[in-house]
Amino acid sequence: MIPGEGQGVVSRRQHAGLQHLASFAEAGRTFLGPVKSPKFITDGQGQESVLVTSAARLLEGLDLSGAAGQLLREAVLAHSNAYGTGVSTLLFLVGAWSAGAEECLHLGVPVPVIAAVMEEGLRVCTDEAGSLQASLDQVSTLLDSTQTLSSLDTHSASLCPCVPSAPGPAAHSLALPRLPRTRVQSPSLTRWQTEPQRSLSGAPRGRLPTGHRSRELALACSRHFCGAGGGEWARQPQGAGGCSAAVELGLSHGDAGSMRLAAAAARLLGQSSPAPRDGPQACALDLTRVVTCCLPGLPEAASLVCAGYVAVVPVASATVARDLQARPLQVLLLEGDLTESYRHPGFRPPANVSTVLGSVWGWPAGTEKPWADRVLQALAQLCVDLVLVQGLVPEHLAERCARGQRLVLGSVAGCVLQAFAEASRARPVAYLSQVDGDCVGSGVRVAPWHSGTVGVAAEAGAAVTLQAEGLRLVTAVLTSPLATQGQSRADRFWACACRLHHALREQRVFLGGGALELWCLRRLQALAGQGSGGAPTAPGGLLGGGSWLASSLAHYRPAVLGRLARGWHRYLCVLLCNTARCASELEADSLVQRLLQDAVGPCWPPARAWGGRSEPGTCALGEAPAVLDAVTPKLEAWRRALDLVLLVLQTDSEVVTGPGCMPAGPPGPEDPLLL
Amino acid sequence: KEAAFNLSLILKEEMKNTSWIRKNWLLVAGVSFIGVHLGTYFLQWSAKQSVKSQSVIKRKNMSHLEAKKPSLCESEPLASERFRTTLSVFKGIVSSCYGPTGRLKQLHNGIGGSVCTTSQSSALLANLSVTHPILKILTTSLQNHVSCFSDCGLFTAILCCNLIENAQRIGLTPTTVIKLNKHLLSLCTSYLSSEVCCCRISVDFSSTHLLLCLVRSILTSKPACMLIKKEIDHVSALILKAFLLTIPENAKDHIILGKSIIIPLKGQRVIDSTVLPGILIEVPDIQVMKILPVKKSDSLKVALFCSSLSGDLSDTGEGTVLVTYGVSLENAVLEQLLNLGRQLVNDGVDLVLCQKVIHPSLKQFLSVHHIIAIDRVGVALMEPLSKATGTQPIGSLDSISPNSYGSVKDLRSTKFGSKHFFHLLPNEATVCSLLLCNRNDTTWDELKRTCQTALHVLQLTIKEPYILLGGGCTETHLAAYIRYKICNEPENILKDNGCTQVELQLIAEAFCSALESLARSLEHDGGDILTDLKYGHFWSVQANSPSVNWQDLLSRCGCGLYNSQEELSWSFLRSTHQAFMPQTCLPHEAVSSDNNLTLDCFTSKISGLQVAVETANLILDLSYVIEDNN
Repeated sequence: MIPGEGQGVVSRRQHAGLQHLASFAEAGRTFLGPVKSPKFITDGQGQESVLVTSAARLLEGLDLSGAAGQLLREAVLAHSNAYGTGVSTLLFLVGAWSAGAEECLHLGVPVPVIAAVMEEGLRVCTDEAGSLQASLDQVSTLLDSTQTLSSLDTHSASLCPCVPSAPGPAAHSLALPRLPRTRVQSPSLTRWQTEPQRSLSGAPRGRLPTGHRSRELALACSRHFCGAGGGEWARQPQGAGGCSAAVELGLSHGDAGSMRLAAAAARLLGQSSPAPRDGPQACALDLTRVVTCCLPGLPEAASLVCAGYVAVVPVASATVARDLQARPLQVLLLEGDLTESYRHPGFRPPANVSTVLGSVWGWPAGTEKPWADRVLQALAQLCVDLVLVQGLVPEHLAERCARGQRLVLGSVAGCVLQAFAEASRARPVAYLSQVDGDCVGSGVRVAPWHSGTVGVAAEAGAAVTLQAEGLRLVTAVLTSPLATQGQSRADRFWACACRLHHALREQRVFLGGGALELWCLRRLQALAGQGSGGAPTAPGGLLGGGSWLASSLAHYRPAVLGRLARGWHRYLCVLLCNTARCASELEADSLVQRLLQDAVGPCWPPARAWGGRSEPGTCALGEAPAVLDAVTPKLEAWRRALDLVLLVLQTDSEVVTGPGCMPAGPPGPEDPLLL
Repeated sequence: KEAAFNLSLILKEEMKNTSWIRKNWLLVAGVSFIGVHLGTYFLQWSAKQSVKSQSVIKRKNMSHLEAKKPSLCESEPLASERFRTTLSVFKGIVSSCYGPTGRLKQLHNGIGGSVCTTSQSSALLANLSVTHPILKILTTSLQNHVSCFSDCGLFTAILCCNLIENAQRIGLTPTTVIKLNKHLLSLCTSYLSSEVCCCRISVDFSSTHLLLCLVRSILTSKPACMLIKKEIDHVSALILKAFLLTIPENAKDHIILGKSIIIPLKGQRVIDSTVLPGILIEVPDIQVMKILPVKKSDSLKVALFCSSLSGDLSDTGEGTVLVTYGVSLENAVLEQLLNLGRQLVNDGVDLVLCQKVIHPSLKQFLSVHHIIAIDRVGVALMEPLSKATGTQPIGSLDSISPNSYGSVKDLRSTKFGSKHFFHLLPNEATVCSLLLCNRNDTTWDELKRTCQTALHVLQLTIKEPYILLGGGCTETHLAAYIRYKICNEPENILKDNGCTQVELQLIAEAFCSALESLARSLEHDGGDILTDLKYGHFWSVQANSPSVNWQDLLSRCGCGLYNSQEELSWSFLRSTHQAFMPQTCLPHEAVSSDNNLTLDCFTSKISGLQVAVETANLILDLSYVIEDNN
């Protein structure tokens, strides 16, 4: 056969794929839990480096060229696109369970049995994990009744689940250094946040009938919402697109700052929503209506959420924004680039048409104005003051527009265009030539954006903010001292926002902080102990009832379930180590063992998991004040992790097609087989 | 007079020439000598070349001549070591994929392309690039089978490999083997198609029970879909529902089935999959907002375009088109598009669907006139759209004939996951959309192939309303039946084929053991296979089990019809045992009540059997392989 054309059938030892998975997953170990150690990924020459703080970004930076790596990337991307949270759990469990599956292979357990038992174990856990779910209302009641405002403050500042249950000075000493402990007070902040409330003057506060309790809750939801007067926490009615502060804190997973922003975004969106609808959807955080704007150079504490759209523009445009501040603007929305050569997607410009200059039929050459002039003229005719362009805007054109007191913003996200289209009744178009009077919207206001007393004046430009009545859009302005951190800052915000989104949408949360995993461990131990009586209804699950594998399940079940449980065990240990509650994995291991033994009885009341024991000097997982987790993303992360492991486990050979399948060198026993 | 003058001139000239030759005779003699020698040299050279090759290839460049390579001729190709190893590698690949506990294969290009994890013959055969000529015959005929019947590809492949290997082992002349194989095949097919056959169930379409079992068996046999039991039940119900939606309500003499379109929704949970009557068209979210509320009437008038309305110039051919400055071709085309738009408005069209892109200006024009425009529908949806709406796809921008318009009952917009869809409800719906979810790309692709297979199998089942028992039981039963027939009634065959009793015994044994080892391929983890001596069904048992008390070790047979508590006796499938006539009656109560039956498509399996035997015969008949290497 001709080299480079056929394919080779690479027979591998059965668990090479599992080993690959385990080694890839090991790289993401430090991203588990609330305290994440950032990593630098550098290229070969050390020329460029990226700072990563999440498992998804880590995988983007790794070279996963093998088949198993490719599948891992696919699984992580799919999960991250669908849920935006739980990726590090997914990655870790892939590693832990592939190691477990490999151990099972060494023990001589047949592959279909491993797959069936592991699948059964996970199914039992996910089906019965319902008992650890709580509705948001329940959680709020429970948390509010057990915690005082001051302890809330304490917990918010030290969310790693290692706070002794008695609030006191010790708690403060455990505070994470990252969390800002000063409150930012700024007049401009107050102005921007009160404006939407003023504009909705007709609507009573908290009018969303979302089925929440109507009693006033003491909310410590966001420092950005504190009253202008001083350091008192604002008391707000619950319901305006949010949930209780304790729930938010529980969902923040140690990143209280980002969660406050996400919660503020939810609340702002709830207020600006045009017509409250019934049902749980009404109070969900619509992530398509949230955008972020990264501002490097400011301290992290200056981040905030404001209604409307915030963007960084060149200095010239910022001046225009200041001048246009006074009046409502006419807005035009463009879906493509604002360039002469732009054509809508799907249009193929003809290759072989050339224009003949000169005047054959008496057209005087060059009478037509340059394109930019025509653009300006069109904008002037339509009295457009503001153009939002989804694609690119050439710099010189933006400058010329600025000279004519028109603001042109490029690279605006599609969801922003949509929000403005709804609010200003503008109709997005692809070309300027399409524009008529109906396409132009009105009522948009622009202003320079200030962060507190510090005006934002970076070298790149200044930030402006756009507002319109009824605009359903909020911007999280994320500040970071270093430009490198911008990406991870945004990732952290989105992780919190996604978690909050899912919690609000489902109106249910899990007790997190390891409680769920501990419960699963316990459940699996019980299941393994039951032996053959474990699942009498479905003998063998997917294995046909007649296969000998089905009848041998009982024999192998304890071993396989033990390996599955081992995955969660390791998860808990790494969690404990990462949060510095245990110095070594050995210590963590014995702590988890002790916790498992302490929780006696077949029906382990989940409340105990976080009611907790409070012996001084020991820190049980159960003492975590109220770490909460979104339900579906967590269960899906488990399922996807196990699916990936089982998919690779059941694969026995790779078929490599196309070029790249012919290894150079003398033939050996490991060589691919050729057809 | 003039002619005479001319003649004399020529003569004069000639005389001049002769005189020149005479003058320089030495030179002339030398040159002609060299010429003659050169000529003979070239003659010899070219003769040599033509002996060496059969012809001379002319390349574009006349000066480049290349000799043709000689053809390779291989006699007795089946006996060669290369063929044996290649065949056993191929058999290893296909048989390791077979059945619900089969192992998966990762197909990828080795340089970071997407990975296809599969155990299905269709994906496997499409990606294996085979170079051995005999194996090519095999894979081509398998691909043909799979494209016609979707199912039983691996069955066919393994059986064919087994037949070839067994026939080689017994070493009889190919003619005898082929003749008897054909006879045995006809014995099989006539038995399977007869009323007495007890591994065939006739389908009662008044209940969904058997059809659900059939679909469930197909889903279960593809482990790369990564479904749990609950999901398998859900998806099989959906597939059956999708199939039922394609059956027209007013069935006349012959039914024309509609089409189920599989719409991808990757990244979601399988349990979120659903079936909707009508056609779903995915649209970007920004477009949903632009669509105006549909005006309420009984039906919407539809125009369907298969040409691009993006304002492209139609192909201008080679050469350059010169355009005077100031004349814009784009504007000219756009004007033509807008004229088309005006005609659509005049004709009262409510909905414009376009396979490709619609120019934004035309879209705007249409939306101003309250016409909904949906573009980028894609080629896959064109045929169902055209059928469901009764439109003729319009391919030109010129005037539209009024009878190319169609209609739909209603149009809605829906959202699944994060995607927006338009939901088109036709007047007479035999088209439905199966919105298929799975967690990632690899598993989604596998699930899609599986669903297509299942839908196809259901179509085949409605044509021939029979189902075969699966799980290896049909194969072992068939083998037992043939053994018995050959043992007890060999006279007819011997008479017809003119062969000896011994030959017949040998070949029938090879045929039956090919079937049995096919059934054994279902086992991948070292278990043993038994067969009972009453029904001839397939039973699996752990390796090295003590051969007492089979009754307690076994639970159910492969297809799930019989359990071990009946008074049965068992024997290893490999061992020789007394030929027996498998019992030929089907317990109808069990068939109609048992929910865990493993079933196979009748039509696919019969065809697979035929293809396997005929391909094996074809390959066994080969005595020379001549490879043209040019």
